[in-house]
Amino acid sequence: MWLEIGIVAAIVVLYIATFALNKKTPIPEDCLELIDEATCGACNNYSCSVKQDFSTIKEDLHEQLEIEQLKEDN
Amino acid sequence: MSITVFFVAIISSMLINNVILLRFLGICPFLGVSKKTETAVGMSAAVMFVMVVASIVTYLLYYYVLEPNGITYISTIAFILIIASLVQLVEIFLKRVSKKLYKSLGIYLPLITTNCAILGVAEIIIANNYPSDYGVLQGLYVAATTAFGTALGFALVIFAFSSIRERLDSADVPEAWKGAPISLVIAGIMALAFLGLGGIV
Repeated sequence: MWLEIGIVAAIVVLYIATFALNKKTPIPEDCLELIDEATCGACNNYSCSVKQDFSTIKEDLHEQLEIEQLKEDN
Repeated sequence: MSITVFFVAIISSMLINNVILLRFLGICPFLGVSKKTETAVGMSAAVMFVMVVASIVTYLLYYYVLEPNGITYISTIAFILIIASLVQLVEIFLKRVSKKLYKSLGIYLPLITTNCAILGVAEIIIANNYPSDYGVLQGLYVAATTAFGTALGFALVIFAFSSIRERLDSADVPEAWKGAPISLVIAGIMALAFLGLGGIV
């Protein structure tokens, strides 16, 4: 009984220690912006106003295609 | 031990028993981080790294600490904590040693703590009981290969799915099917396709 408790307690302490150590370790300066981008990109909220609307992406792509077609025609 | 064992371990864990489409583990990152190919590749690389290391550590913990003491019933809670600690350690290591690698993997590492595929693979490896066939040490090689194959399967599926989703952005999808519904339909079709690979090995 005590062995199980001891092992679990040891692993919990290990986790708390690594978590605290990780918190103390500063994030490299040039990586700070990436964290915001990833948080937003990984979010599943389709109604979020911050995110780029799918229709805008579609419009941009259609514009690009039109430009390419015009170039080819010329 | 022949090389065929490793080859079979990789093929079966990558394609035949794919962790996402056939075992239904790791669905959160599969749907959440697959909008862009870039993020999918980053997540896959981080999962690959942590999955292999976590599988090795949990295997050693199980067969050298838990099993000899007859306390295998605490394996799940021990594995969860070990994986969480491991992710923290990997993050510290990347922050201090390789800023470049942290830039590409670091942001996905905290997400891996809650990725059930990592815990699932650790449990599957234990359930396969490799030491009974190969011995504890050689079983470790097979376990690490299985973890690597599983991670490859995860990467393959998430990359393919992200490529499809990127193309969907410019497709003319009916309003009611936009977003999650069409993604889930595609995931279902992909799962059916992978089901067809059963029986190869």
